[in-house]
Order: sequence, then C-alpha cells, then structure tokens
Amino acid sequence: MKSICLCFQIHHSFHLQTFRFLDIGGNKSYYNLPRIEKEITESAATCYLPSNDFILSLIHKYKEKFKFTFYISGSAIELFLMYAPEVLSSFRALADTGQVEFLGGTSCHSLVSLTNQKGEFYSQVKAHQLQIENLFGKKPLVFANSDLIYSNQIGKDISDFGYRSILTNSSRKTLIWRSPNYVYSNCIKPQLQVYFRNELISNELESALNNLKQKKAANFLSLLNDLKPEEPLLNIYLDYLALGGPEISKKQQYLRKVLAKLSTSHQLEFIFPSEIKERYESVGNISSTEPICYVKDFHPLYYPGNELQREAITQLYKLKPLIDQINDPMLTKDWQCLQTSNHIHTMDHQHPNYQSDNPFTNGYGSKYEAFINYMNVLDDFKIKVKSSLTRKVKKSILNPEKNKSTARSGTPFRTINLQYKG
Amino acid sequence: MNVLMFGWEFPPNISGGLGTACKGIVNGLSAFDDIHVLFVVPKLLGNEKTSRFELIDAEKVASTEKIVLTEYSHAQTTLEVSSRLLPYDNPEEFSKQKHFSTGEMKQSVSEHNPHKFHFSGKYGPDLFDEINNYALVAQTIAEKHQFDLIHVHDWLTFPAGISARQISGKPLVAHVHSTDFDRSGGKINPRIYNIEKQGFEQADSIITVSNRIKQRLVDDYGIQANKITTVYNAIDPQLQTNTTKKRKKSEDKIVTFLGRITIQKGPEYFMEVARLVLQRMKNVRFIMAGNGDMMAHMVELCARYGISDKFRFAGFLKGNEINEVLQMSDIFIMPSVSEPFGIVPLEAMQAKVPVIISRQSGVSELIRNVIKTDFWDIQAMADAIHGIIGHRSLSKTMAFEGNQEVNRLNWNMAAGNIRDVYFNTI
Repeated sequence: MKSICLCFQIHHSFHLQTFRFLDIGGNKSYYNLPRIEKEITESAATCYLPSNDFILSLIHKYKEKFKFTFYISGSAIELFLMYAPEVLSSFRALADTGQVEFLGGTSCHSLVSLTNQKGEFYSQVKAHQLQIENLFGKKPLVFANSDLIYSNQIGKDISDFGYRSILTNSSRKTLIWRSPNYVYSNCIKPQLQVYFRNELISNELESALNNLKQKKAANFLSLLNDLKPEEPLLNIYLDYLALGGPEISKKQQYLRKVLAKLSTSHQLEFIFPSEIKERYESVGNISSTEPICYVKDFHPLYYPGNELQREAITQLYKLKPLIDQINDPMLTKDWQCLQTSNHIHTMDHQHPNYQSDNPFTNGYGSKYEAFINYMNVLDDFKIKVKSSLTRKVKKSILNPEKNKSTARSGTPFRTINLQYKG
Repeated sequence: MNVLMFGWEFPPNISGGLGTACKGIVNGLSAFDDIHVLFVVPKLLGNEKTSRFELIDAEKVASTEKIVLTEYSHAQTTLEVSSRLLPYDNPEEFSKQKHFSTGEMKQSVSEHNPHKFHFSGKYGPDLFDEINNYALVAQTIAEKHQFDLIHVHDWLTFPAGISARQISGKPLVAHVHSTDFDRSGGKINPRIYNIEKQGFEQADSIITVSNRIKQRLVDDYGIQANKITTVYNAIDPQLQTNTTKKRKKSEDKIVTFLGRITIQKGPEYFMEVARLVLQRMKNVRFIMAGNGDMMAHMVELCARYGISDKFRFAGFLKGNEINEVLQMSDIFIMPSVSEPFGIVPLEAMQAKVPVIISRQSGVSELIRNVIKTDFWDIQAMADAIHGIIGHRSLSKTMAFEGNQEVNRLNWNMAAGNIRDVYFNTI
C-alpha cells in the first residue's frame, strides 16, 4: 500500500511600494496596498473560491476517498481577513468535512529559522499554530516551515517546539542516493520525522496544470505509472494557484483525471501528513547541515542567499530586542510584515520577475533595486522604532504605572485593519 | 570568405567610439580561419597595428577614370557643415579642424596626382566631399580586390559601400553604431538622413548595436525588421589589473558622469540627481567630466542650486585620464537620453565601479549587474546613489558582479554573431 499526501500551498505577502531615501523619516506607508488588494481579490475570485468549491464537491462525491492538505501562511491569512474573508470561511467549510488538514508554519512566512533568534522563531510558530486552530478548529500537527526550509538545527528547534514531524523539499545533496518517498528522522532529534516533497512529481504536476494543451499534461499521467510500488510514500506539494486562472474548469477536469488514476490503483490511498507517523517508521536519520528549501524557480540549496540577502536579514533581526522592549502592536505588525521571505527573494537575479524582458512586472528592475528599496523601508522603520523607544523611556520615567497597562490591547487583527485600511 | 570592410578611422587615430568598435570587430573576426578582412580607411597615419588583417589606405588608391555615379555627383558641392555633424568630437578638436579649410582641401586634391584623393580621415567640415571621394575610391578598390561581401560602418561609409556593391555585385552589410536621431537629439540633418536611409535600403543585411537602434530603423527609416540583426558591442579584456582604491573612509564618495555635455547624454538629469542626493547626504562629491554645448548651462545650474562646493567639472578627458577618473570613482552614472550603445559603463565595470545607467541606452539591453532607471527618473537615480553609498554590501556586490559580467564579454563572441550574419547574407 502506497500513501499519498496531496498538499497545496497558499501564500501571499505584503508587497512593498517604492520607498525612496527621501521618504525615510516621513510618514509614507511601506505597502503597495492597491497591488496587494488586487492580488488577493483576484486570486480569491479566480482560484481559491472556485477551487475550494471543486474540492468540496470531490469530497462530497467520493466521501472518504480523498484527503487534502493545505498550508496557508500567516501573512496570507491576515491578507484574507483584510480583503477576502470569504476565502477563510470556505476553507473552514473544507475543514469541517474532516477530509482536509492544515499544516503549521510561521506566522509571517519569515526567515527567522535561518537566524539564531530561537525565541522569535518559537513565538511565530506558536502564533501560527494558534491562528490555524482558531480558524479551522484543529491544531496543526505537521510543520511546514516558510519555503519548506529545513536543516538539522531547524528540525531540532521544531522538535523542541512540540512538533513531531516536518515537511521539506527534496534535495539531491541531502538525499544523495536515497529516495524522497520514505520517512526519515532528524539526526539530532530522531523522534522528529522528516518528510520530503517529491520534487519531480510535484513540479511536473504544477507544470502540467499550467500547460494543459502541451504534451506535459499527458506525460505526467504516464509518469504516475512509473511509481515504484515498494516505496511507501508520495508527498505532492504545490502552489494552490496552479489550480486557478482562466482555464480553471479544464484544470479541474485534469486534476480529477489525475486523482481518478491514482485512486483506481488499489495500491494507493490518500492520507494526511499527520497520519504518516502512525503508519510508518523512519528508515533512518537524514542530515542536512545546509538549509534546503522549496521556492518556485529557485534551487533547493538557495539559502542562506547572497550577500545582499544576508545583510538584509541581519539588519532586520538586529531590531528584535528593541521591538520586544517597545511592545507596540503597530510596530510589531510592521516588523512581521517586513520578515516575509518574498522581500528577500526579490534580492536575487534568479527571481522570475527578472527573467522576463519587461522590467516593470514587480516594480524592481534588479535585485539591487529590491535591496535598496527594502533597506530604505528598514531605515525608516528603525527611525520609528528608535523614536518610539525614546518616547517610551520618557513616559516610563514620568509615569511608570500607566505605561504597563498600555501594552497590547485588543485582538491583533483589529489593529491590522485599522492600520492598513486607514 | 573575404570581407571588404570600409571604416572611417582606426585606433589609435580615433576621435570616437566607432574606430574602437571597428578594431574590436576586425580583431574578433580574425580569430575565424574562414574570414579574411580587407579593412579600408580614408587615411592611415602609419601607427596602426595590423598583424592579423590587411589595412588599406584609401588615399594611396588611384581612382580609375570611371564616371562618377550620378546619385552621388550632386553631393560634390562644398557644404557648410554644422557642429552637430561631428558626432564624437569635442569642441576643441572641432575648432582645430575649422582651420583645415575647404580651400586647403581642394588645393591638396589638385596638387596630388589627379587620380588620387586626399583624405583627412576626420569628422571635419568637408565631410560630405570626403565621403563622396571615399565612394569613388571604393569603386577602384572593389575592382582590384577579390571579396565575397562588403561590410560598412555608419553613414560615413555607406556611399563607399553602395559604390562597391554596384561595381562588384557583392552583398552589402551595413553596421549601424548610431543614427542621426541619436546624435542630433531629434533635430536630424535631412542630408545625412537620406544617406543613412539609402544605405539601409541598399544593404542586404543590417547589423545594429542594440535592439533600440533596430527599432529606430524600423520606425523612423521604414526598414524591414527581418533584415536587421542586433549584435552588441563588446570590450577588450582589461590588460593591467588595476590597483585597489586607496582612499580614506572619511573621504567623500565620488559619483562620476563621463561623456559629452550635450542633450543626448542627459547632463541636466545628473545635476538634478546631485541636488537631490546632497539634500540628504554630506559625504558625496559629483564629477562631471567632458565637454559640450551645454557646459555653460551646467555651470550656471550648479551655481543656482548652490552645490558648487560638492560639484566638479573635470573638462574633456583623454586616453588614460578616463581610466584614472573611473579608478577614483565610487559610482559611475550614465543618464543618457538616447544612447545607441554606450561603452563607458563597461569600462567602469572593468574598473570595479558600481554603475547606474538609463534604460534608454543600448548597453542596458546587454548587461544586468547594474542599476537601470529611466533617464528622467531622478528620484530613482538619487535613490540608487544613496543606496550604493549607504550599504557597503551593495557596492561590493555590484562592483564584483559587474566586473565578473564584463569580463565575460569579448569581441570574439560579437564577431561570431557577425560571422553568422555574413553567412546568412551570401
């Protein structure tokens, strides 16, 4: 019997707007809200809502035959709350069928796991866990880091945070001769199971969905015939957006075909990632000292990134102690939005937007401009943090009692709404 | 394959980028065993180094007594040529050439063997005469030599190429390094335009130095896109490994503009950028090197903005001075309004200087490890300067990656593409 986990990733980030050095110290917003709103509402209308309906209809029709797993990033959840809350309701409807599971992650799809800020990592993991539990009624049991980043140390940290299994991408360098279709365990904490996304099948499925008319779609179906029966597991993990777009009904038909092909084979069954641990023992330890990841169009060994990216990450996380000290919900919110890995991805030539001839697709002409823009925002943010700190210190000297009660009030989502819509 | 190539100048006797590009192309082509180049220039001074190909001095070629082609005979009259016709020249050079009067020219022609022409090989006031004489000599050369294809560079040599084509019946490849639109900032000289257009139309294939120029030929000259191929220029590998910059940290950072101070190069945008940057930063100095008709205006503007203490005019730079200025620069910026190609950014990258260029330059199609902005976007340029100066990691990355990228360029690659055009043409 072969088990299949079919996972979809849903992630959006707070895109930055052009922020010049002359804007530093002014009162300009960091975010390109029109672009964000357009992206969220469009993808909700053309993908998430109709695709969720489709999945729901599959579940109703085939009862317990199919199981689906979703990773929804913390930043995507916040953006849905702001611009398309109906998406979350439709995911809730899926969750209520019992045939859908959600993965845990970090609250802002951040790269904190690459830094030595274990405390921050912990609080982001817990925050996301809580978010998912509140929205969908069930605590996530399997962890999927931002961009599926995994290393020995990250595995150890995650185990410390209470997770018992983690999903990552398969990389030749880590697996060497081994197949991704088995269960492995972390080499520091063997109780943590490590699952690998089958890179070949996942990518092929995604490109088949995006090129339905070409041979690729037919090739993928034949690829499924070649699965080795002795391998117990197949983790497919792809962007949920691949299922949407103008050809959505054809894509749904195609996915139906793929699912039918998989389920007619008696050797295959759909399971949740959380069920893997109950069924399969680890076949051995796996070691990855370097981080491996899954970022579309990037190499699995792309992290820790180039010098610009490392510089940006370093400068960002230097602010951590100050943020904690201030404990101002607005600033904390900005700080989280700035952590999303997408900002860092734009600082690499490999980013798909630099591969096209049109320099205006993402607002940046090159990784250098992306870096400059981000650092300008960060410089402005530093000024805000420092002035807030001075105010706070002054306040606490004048009135130490009152200050204590002002920290953190109301739900975090309310504050976001006020902040970004205003 | 034997290629008869007409140029206008050849290093070291050059007044602009055309000669350098020709040298690169010819040297690059000589790497191929199946290409033999016969390079013709109006005048040789004897100091040209030509180990791997043949250089012909057009002055030494006796013109046969053939009838002058009618389409060019009308151009024999002497013409007062405005300074806009001196595409690569600097004003000093131009004034020197003024002394080289028409009278002297005619005299020298008549004193010589009547069948030979005297060429100055410069972009002087008698340009049209010289071009036409060159075309006559081209006929003789075309008759005397065996070749399979004619390759000409820019409008100055187009009449020569057309003559040679008519005499020999061999295909003509026109190489376009710039058009009159680029040189004149839109105020084209109709006579040059006509020569250019005729050249483009008669050519069997056209090579442009950028897609930008290709588009220009299609839009403004009505040339079919399918006979145009873009072959980017390259740069000779750097010979001496330059010493690393030895400057104190406390010293001001230097941002350099290098080029003719004319509307084409966008000097006023550079000035605006300097003003913006100096509003927020103190440790920056701006250098404008070059000369041109907008110089006085720039000095005035600099005074009006009150940034004279941080702004320097370096004047026209020659030879190694360019390299020296690039060596001391922390940023090189080329805000050109219209640049067919633009070789200086590549030299800056060789000197490990971070580069900012306008998207309106041909070179921006070729290179990626630079910051590209629109020439009018002074905010973006100022921001780039601020970012590069403010973040050492950025300036280091740009310098390193830019240098690596430019080191991968060479004329052999460009020559290979030109060779492809040759074989597709014959």
